[in-house]
Amino acid sequence: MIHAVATLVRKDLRERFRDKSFFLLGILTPLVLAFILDLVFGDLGEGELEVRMGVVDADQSDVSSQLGEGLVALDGQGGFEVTMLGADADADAVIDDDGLDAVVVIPDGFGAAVNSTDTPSLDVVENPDRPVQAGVVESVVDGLVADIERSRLLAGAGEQLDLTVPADSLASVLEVRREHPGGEGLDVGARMFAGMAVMFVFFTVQFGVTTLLSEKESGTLTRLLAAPIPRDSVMIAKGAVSYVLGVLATMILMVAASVLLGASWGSWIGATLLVLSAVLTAVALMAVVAGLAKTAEGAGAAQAIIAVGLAMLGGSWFPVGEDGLIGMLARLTPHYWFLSGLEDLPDAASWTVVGTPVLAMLIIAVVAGVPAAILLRRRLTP
Amino acid sequence: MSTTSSEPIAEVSGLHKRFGAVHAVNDVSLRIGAGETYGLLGPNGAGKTTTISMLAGLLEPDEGTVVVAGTPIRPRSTKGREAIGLVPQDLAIYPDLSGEENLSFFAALYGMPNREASQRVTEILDVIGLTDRRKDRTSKYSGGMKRRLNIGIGLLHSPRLLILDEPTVGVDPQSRNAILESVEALSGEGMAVLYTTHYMEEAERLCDRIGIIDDGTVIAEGTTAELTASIGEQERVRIEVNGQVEDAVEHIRAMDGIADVGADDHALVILASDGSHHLPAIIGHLTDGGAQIGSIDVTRPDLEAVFLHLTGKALRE
Amino acid sequence: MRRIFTIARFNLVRMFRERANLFFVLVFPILIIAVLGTQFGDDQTSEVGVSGSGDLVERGVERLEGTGAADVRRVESAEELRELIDDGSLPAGVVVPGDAEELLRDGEAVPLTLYLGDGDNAAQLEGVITRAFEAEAVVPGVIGHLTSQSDLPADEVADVVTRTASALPAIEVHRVLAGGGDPDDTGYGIDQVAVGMLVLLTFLNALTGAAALIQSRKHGVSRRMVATPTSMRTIVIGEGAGRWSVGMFQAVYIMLVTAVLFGVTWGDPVGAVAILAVFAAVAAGAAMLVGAVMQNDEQAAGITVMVGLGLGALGGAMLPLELFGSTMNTVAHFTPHAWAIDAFTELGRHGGTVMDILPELGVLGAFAVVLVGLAAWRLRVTLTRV
Repeated sequence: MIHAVATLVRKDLRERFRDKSFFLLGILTPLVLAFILDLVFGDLGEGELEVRMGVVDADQSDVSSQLGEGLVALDGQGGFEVTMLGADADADAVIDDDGLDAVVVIPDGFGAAVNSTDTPSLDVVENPDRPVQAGVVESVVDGLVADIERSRLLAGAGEQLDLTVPADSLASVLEVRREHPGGEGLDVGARMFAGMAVMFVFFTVQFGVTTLLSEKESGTLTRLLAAPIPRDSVMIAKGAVSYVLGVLATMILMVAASVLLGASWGSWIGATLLVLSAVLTAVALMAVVAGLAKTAEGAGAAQAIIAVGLAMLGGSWFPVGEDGLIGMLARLTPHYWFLSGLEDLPDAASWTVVGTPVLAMLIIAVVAGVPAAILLRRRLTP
Repeated sequence: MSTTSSEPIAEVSGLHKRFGAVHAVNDVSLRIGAGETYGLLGPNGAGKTTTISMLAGLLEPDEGTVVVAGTPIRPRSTKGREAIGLVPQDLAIYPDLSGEENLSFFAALYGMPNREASQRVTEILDVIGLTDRRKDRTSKYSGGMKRRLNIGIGLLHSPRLLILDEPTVGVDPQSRNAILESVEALSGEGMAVLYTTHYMEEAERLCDRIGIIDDGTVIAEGTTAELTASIGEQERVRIEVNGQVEDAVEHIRAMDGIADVGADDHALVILASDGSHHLPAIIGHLTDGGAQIGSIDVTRPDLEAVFLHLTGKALRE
Repeated sequence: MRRIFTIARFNLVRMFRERANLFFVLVFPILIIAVLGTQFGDDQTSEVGVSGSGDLVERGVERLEGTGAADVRRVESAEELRELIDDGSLPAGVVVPGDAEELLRDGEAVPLTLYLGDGDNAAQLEGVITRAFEAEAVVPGVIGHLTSQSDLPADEVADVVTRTASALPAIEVHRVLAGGGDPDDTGYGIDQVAVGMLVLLTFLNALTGAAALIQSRKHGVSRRMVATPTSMRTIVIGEGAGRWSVGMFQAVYIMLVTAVLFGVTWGDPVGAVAILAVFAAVAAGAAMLVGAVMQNDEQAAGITVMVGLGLGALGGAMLPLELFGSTMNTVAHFTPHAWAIDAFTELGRHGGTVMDILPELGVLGAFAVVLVGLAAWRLRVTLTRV
């Protein structure tokens, strides 16, 4: 049995390395896609969202100029581009013509209202096509409004107490500290890489199990079945080829990320264990599809969509929410566990932190692997 | 030459195989001795490939036994398979591997130790005439070369029984001839050969014994001479006709000495003793009926005639 | 003409004969849209954790819940909150010391510790939480500051400040859309997800069909077709029509089902179908080109996925175009996807008609012509060679 499996595996690997598809699909494609996704999503993670806003000061009072200056001061910071528009500019028109994300309009009488008991109001006119950027502008405005209220209160109460207090003598009284209990995790680029790597391993493993179908179609399966080798060795060999190619491709990608991007995965033992178990699930799941499909072509199409779909659900393309239905569905994918394990590794004290993800993936592999074996066995006829 | 020992190399008894409602193989038994070439002759769909699959241990028979070189052959067991060499009808070779690599791979599968394997591979390459193309990928081979390799793989492990399933279908005449010559040579060396075909000329040329199979049953078996003799001294007259022939056929059938009348393509096939003698009368009947006659062909009886006689159908479709 | 139709129909039939195909063309896209739609749906209120007690915390929580941006879950201790964030049960949380109010009134600064999880709404929630507590810290903060400056007793100062504060109404910020409308209606919701996925999957599935063309070349089917009395041009057009029918079917199907099941609005039907028709032609052209150029189907699988996903991502099918930086936006418009998405946005968000999207349709048409032309030329060369 071992000898037969080894002979079959050698032959298959030779075939795969000759027709370049393994390199194309297993290594080149994920590399290119990771690069593209980093371009597209990367900016977001770094907080470099471009926001273009305009300010209209129809009031021209001290208060309003201060507010206006506060807004304009943001120009050039992060992705902000802030323009002070004319006092009588039409916000709707400007947004339409220049494509600004939002315009803050300080109406006439604002300053007066602030210093009295009238209700002062501000307008934020938003570009309907840019809800996210408009939201950022709102946020900024809210912060500045709190500052105004504080100054106002300071001045008002101070006056009553016969104190002269400079308006800007009190800044925020809260010291905000940020902590990430889950650790900093991976940086965006590394995460993209890992996401693509684990998605593409599902394509790479097709080169083993699906070729069972194409050998049947081309007639070579007949010879294999006629030879004095146990039937199961054919199936086992295909599985082994899938596994070997999958692990090879993924490890190459992980090393490439580390060399090209400077990605740091933490403990390599942990990372390797994650890869070994993730590839096992990929083989098992794709084997199920190969077992159900009628033709090699059909199998390929189905596998492609499952590979992409699971990857989306599991967070390969963008981080998915943890809660609710989405979170639950994500947890059913090996991608989720692989990525979550990798996120925990860099900050972890020991590689044993991958214990849970590895276990989860092994369970998935077994649950899929058993029916896969049964189904594929049935395919072993001439 | 062909030394027939008392034990047959291949023995198949009472094989049955059903696919749903179709009884593809219905009580087939045959024996092949060493050095004997046995032909399984029948039209497409007769059950040849199914029988072979069971013989090679690929398919589980519903009933019956298969024994090759003294070992029972079963799909779930590997025992005895080294004695069987298979040359399937579809080319079963790997396109991305070279001819040599294909052979080495199968040699390894058949458990040949490395040194023996590489020697044997070189020998086979020589036999099939692919020595100078051994390193080329088989995707670059011509159709004839692929066929030769296909056969070479079957011979690699020096089997006691070689099974060839319709090896000349779609093959150019030159390659076809080469294949037939190889098979003759092998038979001379003591190998038992099972050869399936629907080409009568091949069966007649190559086979020591022939089994005629139709609808899953072997309806006749014997040497060419025995089979043709079974239908008596009959000649085959083949007349191409156009037009109404039903009445004429009735009359011809009724004639003395006419054994059978069948149709094939645009021709009537008439079995008759001393057919040339009856020719004028036959032609008369046909022209009376208003039919137009094309060519007329009179041949000595052959397997096609036998088949027609036994089944009322023509061997070729 | 009839032969073209035959070849096209044959392609469709072949696609549907494989039952796995049926599931993944019909069911899967809907599932993905449903799942992603709930992920990015507007009506998802996140929960944030708050640990701490005291006046400031109570007021902060009330204000937080009042904004409607988040629901609050009170947590016993900072440790517990940290765990909940770590294991992903909560996306974000804040720890406020119990004596915060007193500290502020004494003129001290108060540490506010934010625990942030991995989700990408953590950043947004950070802002929401901070703003709420900042707002509630104004009064005590001012009290603290003024008390330190004045000789008067603390409660007198506090009294004055509180009275002043209640006399001064809060500044209102009105949000409105340019051209009128409620800003809360235009969030990135299932409509946008549906558009993105339709564009992505239609293109991707059309490319996957390219493998079928290679198969038929391999099995000599196309060669046999050439041997029949059918002109090469007819065959090529037929194959193209086949790819187009498959793509069109996929796209129209997604459009109709998401409209019925999820109430997705696609805008003006004529415009929408026009976009689909042209985009399906682009996809068909790309598929034919891949199929004509690639040597075997495993290679095609790799190219298919790379091009399909890559173009989709670049073109704004996964991350909305409005979030693209200006350079990336220019890059995006080198893909047909971006133009199709722009066209759909015009129809959906702006209520445009087919007249409003003529430029986009024009660009898509140009894409289609170029791709189909290249493919036809290439196919002519290779169909007879293999």
